[in-house]
Amino acid sequence: MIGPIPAAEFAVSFPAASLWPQLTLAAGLLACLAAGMARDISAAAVRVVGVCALIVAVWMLMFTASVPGAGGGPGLGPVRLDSLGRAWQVLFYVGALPLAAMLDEDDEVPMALVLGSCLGMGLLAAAGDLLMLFIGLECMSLPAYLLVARLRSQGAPPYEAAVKYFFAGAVASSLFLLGLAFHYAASGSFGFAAAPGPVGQAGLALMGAAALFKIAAVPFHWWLPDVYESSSPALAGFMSTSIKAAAVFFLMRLAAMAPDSGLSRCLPWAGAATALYGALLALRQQGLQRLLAYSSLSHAGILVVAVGAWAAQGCDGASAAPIFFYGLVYLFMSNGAFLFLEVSGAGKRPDLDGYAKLCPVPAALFAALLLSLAGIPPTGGFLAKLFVFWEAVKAGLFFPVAGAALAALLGLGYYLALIRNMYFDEPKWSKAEPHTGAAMVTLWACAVAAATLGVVPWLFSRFLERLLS
Amino acid sequence: MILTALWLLPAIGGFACLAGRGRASRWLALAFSVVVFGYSVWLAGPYETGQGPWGLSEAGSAWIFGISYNLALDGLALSLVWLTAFLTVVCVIASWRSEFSRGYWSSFLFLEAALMGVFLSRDLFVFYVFWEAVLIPMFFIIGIWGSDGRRHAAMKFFLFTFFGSLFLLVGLLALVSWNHATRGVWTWDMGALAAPGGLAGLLVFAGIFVGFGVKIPLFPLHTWLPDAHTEAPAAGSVMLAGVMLKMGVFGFVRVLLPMFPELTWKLLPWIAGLACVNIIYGSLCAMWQSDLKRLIAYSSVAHLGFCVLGIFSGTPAGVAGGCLQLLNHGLTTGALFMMVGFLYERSHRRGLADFGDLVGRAPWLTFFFGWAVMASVGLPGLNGFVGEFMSLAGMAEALPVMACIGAVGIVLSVAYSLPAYQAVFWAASAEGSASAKVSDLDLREKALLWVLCLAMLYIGLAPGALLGLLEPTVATLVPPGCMP
Repeated sequence: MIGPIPAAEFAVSFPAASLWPQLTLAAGLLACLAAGMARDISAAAVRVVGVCALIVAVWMLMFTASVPGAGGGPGLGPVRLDSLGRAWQVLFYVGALPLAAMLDEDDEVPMALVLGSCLGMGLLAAAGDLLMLFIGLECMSLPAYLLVARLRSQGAPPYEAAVKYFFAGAVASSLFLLGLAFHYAASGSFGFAAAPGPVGQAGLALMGAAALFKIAAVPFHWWLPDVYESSSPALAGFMSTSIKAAAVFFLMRLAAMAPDSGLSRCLPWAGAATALYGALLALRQQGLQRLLAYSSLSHAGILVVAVGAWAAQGCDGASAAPIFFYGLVYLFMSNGAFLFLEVSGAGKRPDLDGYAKLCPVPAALFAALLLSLAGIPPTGGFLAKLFVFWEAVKAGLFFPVAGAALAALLGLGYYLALIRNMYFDEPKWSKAEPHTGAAMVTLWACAVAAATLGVVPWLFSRFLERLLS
Repeated sequence: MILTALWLLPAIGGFACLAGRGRASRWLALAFSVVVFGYSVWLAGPYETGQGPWGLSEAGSAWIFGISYNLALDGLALSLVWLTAFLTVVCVIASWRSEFSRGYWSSFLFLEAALMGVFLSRDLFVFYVFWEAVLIPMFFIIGIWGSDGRRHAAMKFFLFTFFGSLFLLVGLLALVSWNHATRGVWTWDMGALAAPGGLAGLLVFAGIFVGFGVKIPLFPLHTWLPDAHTEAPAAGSVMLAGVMLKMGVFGFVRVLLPMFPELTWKLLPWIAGLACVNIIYGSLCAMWQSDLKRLIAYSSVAHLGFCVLGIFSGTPAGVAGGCLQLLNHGLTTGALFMMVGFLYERSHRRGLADFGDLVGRAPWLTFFFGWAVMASVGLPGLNGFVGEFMSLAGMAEALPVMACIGAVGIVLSVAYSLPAYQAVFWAASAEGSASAKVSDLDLREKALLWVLCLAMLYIGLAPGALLGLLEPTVATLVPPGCMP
């Protein structure tokens, strides 16, 4: 007979106060599913539930999670919420907001999947050991595969991208599990402490490869363009921000296990290669969604360089601020850019010709987002790139930084070209497609946030101080 | 707030124009630009009562890495602020008749805001942000409202000057981190930074020099200029030549010279040589142009060479002359580009061979054009003479050879300006000339040109007032005993 679990022990191994955002999301998920049992469910009701759950989760993060004892050292069991995990949850949940606000299906399942994926990210952020990290990762990924199958872009073949995504994810999972087995064999624990010996190092390398798979860093990048192109724009925005941020967080946790390991040392190079590869291929794209997919590859590369620089400086929690800032600015830029595709209905680059004459407001917002993506002052994208490159230079990573900076310069080529299409060319059609309200509001929010973060970043620095304190 | 208002007002005006409907945004643009000009003139009062080398300053709270929002206004900055505000009003009035959308008017106000920020910043980071922000409105002005080759010219302009600015950014970052490493403080304050010596110093100097050189533009970094100036709409060319080219020289005076006095003297022959190449090369290129706008664009390359020559002479007369020449060129070339714009508005042509015998059809245009050409070639009594003479006199003290080469440029300027003037306005018109379409200036255009031309005359006859304003800046740049 199994006796009841002692209350004190439960409190230590399961500090519920640090999981309130996750519990909120779980409640939202259940509410969605319960609403689905009603006969005529309206899209608006589901949308309200999903958006509210995400907003409340962020709100809880800001105020509730800072109760004493919520953070903890190693060995506190499977749940451990440190300042890093707390800060990154902001990226996860805010990044999912545009998708949640845009879902207008008369069906509760997509929203439940979005919330489920966010719940997985929340668990990832609060993971106290590698096993929990894996559970969070899977919990995040499985709904994402289903979402890719469910929310497709116009004319995309059914299931092809989802299957591709699933197989890539399965390879990543197996690599991680194999690495975890090695790690366990070498150290006898699932903890974040580095495992000794060559077996332990091999384990870390395998787990790092899994993280790079999730980020889609070169040479594990091949699945990303197809998956992003076949998903609906809002979903691609979600994947390029929330899921990407989660993958970066995953990588940071692994890099922090052994800051001077071989994994950490190869990160800047992998990042620079990814950034260059993404930028070079983006230059050649005619399809807008594919172009943005490659651009997101390039930005992810810069983030990987940043993680490498962070590791080279000893993985100090406070010095992760540049990575966080980049993630935050990119969250608005990327979500906004994908949302613009949804608003304008443009598929190919020539579709944008003269768009500014037809719809000046969305065009201006998209132009602001593109300038920010290109990293031109006074937008947030400039500051984000500057901070990240600065940290990397301080860490002595001159060549990777040069590569990433070159990628950023190439980025000017395709971002400005889109502005040229919109503003300098003559329109081919006399009338543009009408656009929906929710998408326009979100587009406004993203563009204003991306621009403002460059002009008044001290708003952000106070916010970050509070979050990382 | 007294200085912040100077860039905030036009920025607010820019947003107001975007919100305005139809003709309202045109009136809003006029109102805001006039208010900003009035405000900048009013600033002369507080400036006079200000203390120290920076007449007025405004300190903000520190942010990270020692960046803080610090503004300051000295005599040179004040005169350039006047030029910017004045030329913005001129641009708005000059394009009054054109049926441009609200984006056009707001672009000019945003451009004015960013330019004001460049001239006002004391913190190098803030300076850089404004410096880059200038590109965005100008990119749209050229690309949307320019003539046939506008797409290509806008992209070239943006990419070229952006790449140049990256050198500037890297140089500034290296400078700031060197200061942090050796002195333990993070600061971006122009007055508090010291320069490294040796190879590191040379590299930082080179980075910043290239960044500013692209904007001036110095040979061989000038290739974006003819395209951008030619393809931009008339008012865009006025702002490009009138104010934006001054940013590079202003950067030299503000950042490079105070920070690297010794290195500057060591490299003086090279820099002066580069300026002479600018003068001779720009003049020769101007001689071979058949497009009036392109000719004036190349003449700008030559004129800016005189500014650089004067500023790097290291003598009080030369530096003051170089700074004064900045203002002169803004007025003169601004007026010339505007008149070419009037011609183009009427006839949609701007080739030298497209016109002829305009003196009969448009006597006022002929009169004002002649006036501006005379100012441009340096006729004594008009503004160009004072600036060029002082620049050359300063350089003659430092490096007589270079001054002689520079003086050749004055002769060349006559050689490219007068034949063009003669061909367009006085020569007999050829078969199929566009002169028939050209009507004379109306009251609005005449009023604008009277103001510009009288300003040229005033500076030519009584340069003392402006030189007095520039005096404190010149004194800090030429410390006693620092001569080569």
